[in-house]
This record gives sequence, structure tokens and C-alpha cells, in this order.
Amino acid sequence: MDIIYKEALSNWIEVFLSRGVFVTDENLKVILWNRWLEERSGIPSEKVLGKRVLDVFPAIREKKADRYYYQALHGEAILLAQRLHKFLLPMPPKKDYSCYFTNMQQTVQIAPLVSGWDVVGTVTMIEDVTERIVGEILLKKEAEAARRAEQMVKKERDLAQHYLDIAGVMLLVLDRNGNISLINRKGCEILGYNNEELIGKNWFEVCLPEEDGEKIKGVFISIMEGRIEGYRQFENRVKTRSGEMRIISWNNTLLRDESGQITGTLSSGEDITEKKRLEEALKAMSITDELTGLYNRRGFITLSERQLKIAERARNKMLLFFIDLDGMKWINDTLGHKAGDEALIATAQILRETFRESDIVARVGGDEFVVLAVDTRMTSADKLYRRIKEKVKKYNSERNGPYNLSLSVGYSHFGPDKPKRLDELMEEADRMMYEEKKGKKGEESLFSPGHAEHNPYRSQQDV
Amino acid sequence: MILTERQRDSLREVINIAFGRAASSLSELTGHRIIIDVPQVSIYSIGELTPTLEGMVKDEIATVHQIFTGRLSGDALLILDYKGAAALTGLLTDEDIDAIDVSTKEVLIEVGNKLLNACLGTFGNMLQVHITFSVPKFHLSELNDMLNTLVIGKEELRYALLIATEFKIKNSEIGGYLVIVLGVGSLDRLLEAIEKLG
Repeated sequence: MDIIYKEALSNWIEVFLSRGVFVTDENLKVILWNRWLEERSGIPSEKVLGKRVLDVFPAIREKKADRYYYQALHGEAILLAQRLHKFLLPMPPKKDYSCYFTNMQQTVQIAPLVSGWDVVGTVTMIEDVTERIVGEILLKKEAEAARRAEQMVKKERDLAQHYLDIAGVMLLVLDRNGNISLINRKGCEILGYNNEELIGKNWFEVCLPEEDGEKIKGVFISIMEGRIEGYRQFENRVKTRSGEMRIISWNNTLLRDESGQITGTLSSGEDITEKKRLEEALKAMSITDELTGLYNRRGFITLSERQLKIAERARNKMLLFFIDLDGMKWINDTLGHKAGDEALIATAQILRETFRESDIVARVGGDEFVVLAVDTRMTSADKLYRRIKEKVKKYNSERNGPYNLSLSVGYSHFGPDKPKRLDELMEEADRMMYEEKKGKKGEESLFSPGHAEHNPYRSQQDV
Repeated sequence: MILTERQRDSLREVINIAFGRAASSLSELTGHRIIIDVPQVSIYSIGELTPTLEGMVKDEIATVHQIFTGRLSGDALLILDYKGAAALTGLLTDEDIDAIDVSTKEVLIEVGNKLLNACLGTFGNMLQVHITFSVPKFHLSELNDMLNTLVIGKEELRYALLIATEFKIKNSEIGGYLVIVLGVGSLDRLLEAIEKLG
């Protein structure tokens, strides 16, 4: 390099370089102390030049940093990280950072000055990194605050999710299009999917049986558009991942935004599949009719078959009565199901009063009753038939209701000499009952809503 | 070039002593007991170095790179994977470090600098030659990009001394690699000197 450039370079280092640079000879005596160092340390070069740097700054020895100079004299180039050393030469920081640090924070490079193969001195370059460090500290604080805030939010979210998850019911939020925007763990359990697999999917397409999906979706869309009121409660079938059907009992709430616009639904659903199954099973096992307390068809057949065998062995006679409540449809349609139920209960009561405790009295269909009169030694079919009719008459006169109760009755005989099967007995009695009913046919056609006031059974005394 | 068992053991011993010096200096600075072990030393041709290292460090790596000149000349590198680099500086500074910022980078440079200086200084002493060093540089890059800078444009047949390094600080162990790339002549002389030690 031309001497002229060497001078220019050394001048630049001395005057303009925005870092502290000082150079020592092989005895560590300072031979260059640049302007930056003069300004920042407050020590003018005349106080330093020609002196051993370790004498001018005892702090170097105190910090055991003198060894770096000996290493540099052995050819090693050294970097001193601020994080590990803070600073090499104690100097005040720039005013703005005096509240963070009492000393300027420095990253320092110490390098050998080499001429040929020989080390002839050292050069030390000091960078003021205070501003950067303060920046890093602030950034870290900010990140820490953000992390803490995020943790708090996460905690709350986790807590909310936890509450959702421990809920014993399925919780489901659908948006306006019926897409799943939230489903809790219980819901996932019931349906057999992961949360991720369901979020965003269309409820009606994924989770309902195909034959129901379209229809229910139509209703849902109408509710979303405000065209019809939503149902607060209903039951429907859902399809699990494995294709199994579950029956869910739902409680629904419409979700609205601030302007009152419907945005979706929040539903809680209880899986009642097992409950339903149990009810069905119990119903299947039961032998009594819930409404009337009489035996049901199943009970009647079970008990009667047994009774038939006993009667055959004991050579007893028995009677089977078939009784039909006339105008049941008319009563239901015109006066309501409650009235229909009352008529059935009244019929049951009449039959109970007519027959004995040991007889088998049953309701075997909507408006059909059957009685197996087991012990007929003290009575006859005719007597029992008449007793039924009398009791009906008495009931109607005492009650004076909006219609007269009317029963069609038929019967059949069981004799040990000529035993019949139960279905034969029932058929025979049914046929007789039907004959009687046919006789009333013309009148029965009047059992229609429009003729409520002209109910013929009101004035009919002999039915 | 394959190291004999005797060469390998001697070389490990020498490097262990050198690392001891660096470790005690780091212990003193940080106040933690720091041990730097050398589980393995091996030699590869420069061409073998890349595939070998690829099997050892993955993805982004942090490298401290120093050039040394003199009668012994070449490149010296400390290579850590990114996670290891962050963990090491975290342990040294008692901070949680998940991203390497400028100040963290400087700590790594100083660690690498101490190891490389110690190692090469010892080699220099053994060979009774003077080595001078450049100021260390720090790179965050892909392994390949880093190694390519070493391979390109040098005519002399060169070898890499691969020194597996294990930092033990506060019940943690962080593995890294020191790579010293030397010309075949320099390496021969080094091994000769090591033979004499034994």
C-alpha cells in the first residue's frame, strides 16, 4: 500500500472511525488512541500515549483481561462478548442509557499486529453496544409481557375448553350454513371423530343419516333465515363415524350478533340411545298396558296359552270375549286424545268390574280388548255379555258426557271336549263382535268431526 | 489418510488439554463449572467432510469461523446446530434463549474463539511455529453453503481434522464439532510432532 494511503487510513482510524481503537506495541505501550476513545472515555491521547495500557486502566487487570493481551502477543485474535464481559475499559454510557448501565457496554476485539511472521503489537477495537443491549432488553421484556398475556388468554381459553369438555353433554355450535364451528370433547366422543376432523365440516352432511340430512338442513336454513321459529327441544338421529346411529335429545339456542342477526345455533345434546333402548326393552318385556293397567297383547297371550293348557287338563270350560270401543277414531279426532284415553280407561274399568279377578282382561290393540273368562261355572256368556252392556249404559247415564260410550262385543266358547287354539277362539269372538259392529255401521259413519253435536250415541240407550 | 490408534489417542490428549484451558476460562467468566470433552477425533479428506458432517448435524447450523495463517495455515470452525447453539449460550448466560440475537451470537463467537485459539495455539506450540489468527466470524447458514466456501478455489490437497466436542454445563450436555482444515503438508508435520510426544 502506498504510504499516502497508509497515512490516510491511520488518519481515518484516529479521527473518523465510529469505534474505539487503540494500538500498543509489543510491550503493550499505547501508540495510538483514537478520537472516539478520547471523547467517550474523557481521556485525551497525551495522557495515554507511551504508557502501558494495563497501567492506565487497572480495571483490565482486575477483570483478568490482561491475559487476552498476552494471548494476542502470541498471535491469537480475541473477541470479548458483551454478554460475558460487559466492558473492557470503564467509560460512561451515552446519556440516554445511564439509567440502564453505569458503564458503556462493549464488544471488544483484540488482535495481534503482525509484521512478517512476528507479532509487533496489539490492536484493540471497542464497539459501544449499549444501545443495542438496551434494545434487546426492551425487546425481551416486551416479548415476555406478550408471552405472559398470551399465557393468560390461553389459560382462560383452556379453562373454557375444560368446562366444555367436562360437560356431560355434547355441545355444538353451528354457523348459519350449518358448518360446525365448535364441538366439545363429549361430542367428538359420541360421534367418533377428532375435533379437527369436524371443525368447519357441514353438520347435516357429515353427522346425520343421509335420509334425514337434507330435510333437517332445509328446516335449519329456514330457521337461520328467520322464516320459521326454531324448536327449543327435539330428538333426532345422528350418524357416527362408524355408521352407527345414535339418538340425541337436543336443547337449542339461537345465536345472534350485536345487530340481532341470527348467526347460528348453540345446542346441547344428550345421547339418549341407551335410554331409548332400555325403554324399548322394558316395554318389550312388560305384559301390562300402561294406559289402562290391563294386560297387553303379549301378557294376554302368554297367560292365556298357559290357562288354555290348564283348562284342557282340568277339563274346564272357558269363554273368550272380544270387545271393541266404537267410534274411537271419532273421539280422538273430535274431542282429542285425552278424551280417547278416558274412553279407553272407562272401558277397562267396565271390563274389570264385569269379570273376576282371576279372569284375564287385556287391551290388545288401540281400541280392542280381549277377556279370557277362566272360571265360568257360576255364569254364562250371555250373562256376561249383558252385564257389559248394562255397565256401559250405567256409565253413560251417570256421566252425561259429550258422547256415549259404546262397545261392540263378541265371544267364543272353549270346551275340553272340543279344544280350540287361542287364535281360533279370538277369531271366532272377533267375527261375532264384527257382526255386531256392522249392525251399527250406518250410525258409525256419523262419527265424523262435523257431526259432533249430532252424535247418535247420545240418545241411543241400548248400546 | 487414516490415523493410527496411537496418533488418535495422542491427538485426543493434546486437544483435551487445550480444551481444558478454554473450559477453565469459560468457567471463570460464567461462574459455572464447564467441562469440554473430546469424545472423538478423526481425519477426513475435504471431499469426505461434507457427507460426513451432514450425517452429524442437520438443518441450520451456527458456525464460528476463524482463518489462521503463518507456518500453519487453514480454516478452523466450530459447528453447532441451531438448537444446540441457543442452548449453549442460554446455559452460559443464565437466560432463556430461543432465538440467536446479536449478543447471543457474540457469546458463541467468544466460545468458538476460545476453543479454536486453544486448539491451534497448542498445535503451534507443538510445532514450534507461530500462528496468527483472524478475528472470528459467525455464520448462520445451511451446512452445505458453509462447507462450500472451504472447498472452492484451493489447489492444495487438504484434510479436515474433525473433533467431536461435548460441552457439559449444569447437568446438560451439548454436542458440537470442531473442524480444522489443513493442507496435507501442515497435517503431516502436525502428526509427526504428535508422534514425538508419544
